[in-house]
Amino acid sequence: MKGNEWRLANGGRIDRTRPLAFEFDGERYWGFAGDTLASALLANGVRIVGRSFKLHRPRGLVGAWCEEPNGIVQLGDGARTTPNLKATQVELRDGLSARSVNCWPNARSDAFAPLQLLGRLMPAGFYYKTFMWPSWHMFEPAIRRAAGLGTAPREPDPDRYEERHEQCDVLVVGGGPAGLAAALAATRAGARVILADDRPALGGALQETKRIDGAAALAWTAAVERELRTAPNARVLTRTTAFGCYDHNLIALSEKLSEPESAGLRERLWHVRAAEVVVAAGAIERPIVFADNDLPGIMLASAAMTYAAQYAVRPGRRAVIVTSGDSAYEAASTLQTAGVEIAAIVDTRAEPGEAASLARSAGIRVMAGYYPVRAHGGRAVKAIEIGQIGAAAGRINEGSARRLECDLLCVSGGWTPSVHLFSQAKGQLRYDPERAALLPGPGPKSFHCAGAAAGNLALHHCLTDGFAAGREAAKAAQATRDAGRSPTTDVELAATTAFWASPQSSHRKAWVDFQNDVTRGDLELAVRENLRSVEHVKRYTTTGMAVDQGKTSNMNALAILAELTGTSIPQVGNTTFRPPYDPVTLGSLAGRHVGAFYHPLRRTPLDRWHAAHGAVLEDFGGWLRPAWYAGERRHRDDCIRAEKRATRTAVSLFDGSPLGKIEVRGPDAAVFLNRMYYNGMKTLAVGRGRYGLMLNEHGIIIDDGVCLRLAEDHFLVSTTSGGAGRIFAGFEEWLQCEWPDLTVLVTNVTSAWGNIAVAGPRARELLERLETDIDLEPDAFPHLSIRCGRLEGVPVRIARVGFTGELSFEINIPAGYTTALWERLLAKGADLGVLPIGIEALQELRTEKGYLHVGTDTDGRSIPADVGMGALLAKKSDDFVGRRSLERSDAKRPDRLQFVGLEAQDPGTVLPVGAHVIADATTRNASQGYVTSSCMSEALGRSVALGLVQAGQARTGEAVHVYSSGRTFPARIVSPRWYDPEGHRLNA
Amino acid sequence: MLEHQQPFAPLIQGGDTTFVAMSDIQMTWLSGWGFLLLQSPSESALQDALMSHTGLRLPAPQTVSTRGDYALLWLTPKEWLLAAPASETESLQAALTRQMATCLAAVIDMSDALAVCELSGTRCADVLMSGCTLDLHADTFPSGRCSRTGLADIPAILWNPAREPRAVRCIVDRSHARHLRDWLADAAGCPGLPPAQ
Repeated sequence: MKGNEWRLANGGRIDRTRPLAFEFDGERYWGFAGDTLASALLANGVRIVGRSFKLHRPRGLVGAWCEEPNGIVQLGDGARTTPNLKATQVELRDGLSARSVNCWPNARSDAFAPLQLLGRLMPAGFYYKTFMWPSWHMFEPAIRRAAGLGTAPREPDPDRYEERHEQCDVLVVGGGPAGLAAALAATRAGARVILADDRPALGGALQETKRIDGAAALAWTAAVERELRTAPNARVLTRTTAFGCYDHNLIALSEKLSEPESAGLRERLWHVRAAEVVVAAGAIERPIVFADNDLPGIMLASAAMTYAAQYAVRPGRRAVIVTSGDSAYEAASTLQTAGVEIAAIVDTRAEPGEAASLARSAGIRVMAGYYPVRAHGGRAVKAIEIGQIGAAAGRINEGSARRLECDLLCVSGGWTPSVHLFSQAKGQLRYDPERAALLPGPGPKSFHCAGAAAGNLALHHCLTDGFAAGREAAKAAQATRDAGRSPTTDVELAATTAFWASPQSSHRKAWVDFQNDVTRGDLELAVRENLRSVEHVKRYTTTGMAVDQGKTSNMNALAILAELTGTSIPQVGNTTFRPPYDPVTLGSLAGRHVGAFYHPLRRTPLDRWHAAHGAVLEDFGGWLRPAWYAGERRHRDDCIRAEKRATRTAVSLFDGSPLGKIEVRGPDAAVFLNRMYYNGMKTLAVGRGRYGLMLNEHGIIIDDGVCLRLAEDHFLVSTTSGGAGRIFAGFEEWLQCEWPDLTVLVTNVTSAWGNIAVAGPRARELLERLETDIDLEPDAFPHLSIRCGRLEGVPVRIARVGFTGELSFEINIPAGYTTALWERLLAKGADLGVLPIGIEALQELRTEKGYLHVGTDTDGRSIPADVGMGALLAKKSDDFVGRRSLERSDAKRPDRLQFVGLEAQDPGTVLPVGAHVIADATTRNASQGYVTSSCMSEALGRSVALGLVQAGQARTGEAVHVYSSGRTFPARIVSPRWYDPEGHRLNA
Repeated sequence: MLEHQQPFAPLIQGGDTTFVAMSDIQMTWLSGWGFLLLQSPSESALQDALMSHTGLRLPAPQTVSTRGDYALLWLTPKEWLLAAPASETESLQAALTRQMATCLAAVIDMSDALAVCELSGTRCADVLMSGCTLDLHADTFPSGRCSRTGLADIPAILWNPAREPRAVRCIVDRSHARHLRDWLADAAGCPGLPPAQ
């Protein structure tokens, strides 16, 4: 097979028996199982993997994992396409297709590349300053296209995402040596442990050449993994990123499962409640800021080492290593073993110590006390210019400038511990000048940082540190079995010094943030413009934003800011670490809360009957209810008209089961309800009911319904459908928090009872055909009363209440009998013309009657006086919820929106709901209210409407105009009681 | 007399109350149960009434006490749920109400309001913990434990009835039974069930 000319003949953790074909920017390549997209591209000699965000400069790989700022790709197409993935984290698979984002047609030859020439014109903040006239929104679409990232899919995601809640004693974040040692200690101590690592395999940055407890490092890793996976008290999660820490140690993990193209589960979101957390997330190497430090071929020393050791890829032929610490010497030796010529190690330290001596004795040229001045090259690095650090600040020693040819430049400006979770948990960071890093300082007791995340880079420290942290965490969680002794290894060199930016890097092409194209010059500009706070500088320059969240750039930006403002890093402070640590898909966050599970719908006991009899079911207040019954008549309006006609002229059945039913009992029940209702409830007679409004403390109407008194100390409260839970919770709150002295029990019995409203002039006739011991005659059972008894042998509570304006009986029956009763009523009433009716017909019937519907004919400002019930206030002497608010001047304003009827001049016109009431048809400049309910009434032979109108009640008879979508209708303000205003039919 | 339907009746076809039957997880609607909701601030009077009619003791918080066919679930500091054979709920309600007549108490028949689904099999905790924040592993939610919680975005009472075999009962409002069934079957990855509507 051709290609892979940069692949080493031996080594690596790839499976050479499994070649995989893939596509990048339309070109076909191949790699091996175990490769990432990034390593496979490098193996195929692809050096330009992306274009920079703003200036479209060619960019190569900088990192080898989540720190990668340049290799941002869009994966796949169609519904499963995923934007903005880091090529370094994309596991290679057969047939994978990726393309670089933010370039066209591809990263190699990008049509936007000439933007680089305009770099001088596009410093930080140039968008804000330039695209102001006439409006940013005019320019935004074009700029988004030129400086953007990937594109979101247009189709719904076909894959499955899951959630999982879990609790544990010790959560270990990171599966490198420190994390493995911690998990081992905690598991052996007997704690319930979860170990989460974001890579496909455990081991972190462990190199094959190391030895732990006398074994090869990878064999040790495998043995630890085996022990953890077989322990009953440990769970190992790979490909799982701990991306956020929330209150009370709730840690969110995102686990990636199957390949995107395979059916089934794609990601799982873990909500882990951990008693103790060990943060062993490692550290990220930093680039160094110097001129043209973004050329392809310049990468982190750790990344170059990873490509050579783990993926068996030679990242270049001739390398120069620029470092401020010992760790890059290991990279040099790894690269040398991989056949890369090491031109020199440029160490910014004047006296690099033992590491340098060892390198020199291995034949590597070490240039101590030099620093990088600028890189040379066009589409790839060709050479690096270095100079000796001079006595005068910002100067190199005269005559010390050197030029070193290379096609690979490995940089190491020190290490930034991944303290993100610790910081999210409100742990404080302290700057350690010796290690040139922000390290975990004082923080929550349950957080233990270990290994490189705590600033301890050397392997022997990671192991002992991690083991101790794991044991300590387990002990804090009361798991104290003997964990044995810590794994050990040889002592390593891991010294480092601070080196952030070349003194002569005050250059517009010395990059601080690769992903967002932020240069040192941009930071200087921000400071010149007097942006001093690190948070302001971040937002102005965009350094540290986007997909990588500044993993390679934040520390350098802080150090440069400190230098520019003449302060120190602790004084500059750091920007806030916020979740997510690494991008998380929206699919993962949505989980299974999509489609039918987006919002749980409740079903009535008659649900199956409705569905089998042509009901059009819709969501009304969280309940799936019949809007109307389609039956044989197809047209919606015809169906609704027939349902209304049956109610007005014969009899109809309505499934009112969702109606809220709350039982209130106890010696103080009447006192309690008298406080909860606006209307007086103390005087309600046993067996009678009263319509009432419930208000909140602001005097606003929040619910209405009929309150029925079953016994001296026993009430049944009806709430609006869907309001039961809310009102019940409110009752409990008032009783428990405000009035513990009241002896009252409240019970939500909504679902225990089915509810069938039998309404219409022949309702009594229908009920009399059933066997009952309840006297249904009007004198014995008047409107607004309740009777308990038996119906067809079943205990029932029948109330004479209704929402239609007709003679009406609401039968409450144990829910299990609802369907049988419903069917019997239909059978017994067939000759009477009985019909089941849905919500739409009911809404029109109550609109005709002028019954208000809370939430439809009232809004979040309506008080009782607005709906014509203001007079009751003076009659009630007792206090009630909302009373004091009704005394405010605002509640007495004369121009409040009030509930009225609106009569269209043309009786054939149905005024549109939402249309505005205006005084002057020509200017239309001020709304005086709006239409809330409206329909055509067959019973009245004309259209009817209800609305909220300013000072409406005093304006009865006044002519107004109703305006909607360019049309104006002449109308008149009338009483809302359109149908049977005297209530003869109701009281029949 | 009218025909009575159990709360899950609209969800089953031909009398089969099991809706997931996989090797590692099974889900079944429990039939024949009746429920009385007991509320009273007079704990000792309630204890006496329960003792004389069921032989049950009031359970400690978040636990269940059982005796014969009866089980008593702790719900809140003044609220318990008595599970009994459906045929006995009416007489039990009458007897308890009678004995509690002199103090404040509510004995309310919730048999028609609640649907009970039993999960059994090794995957119980896994499936439930994909939609419930409680720690439901057998060692942390042992037999005799119950909890009022949220499951699948709806309120639920969970109850571990026995040490062996591993099972968890979910008691939900009847109006949510359909959602619970669809959600649980989907969580189990049950292939045989029609897609949720």
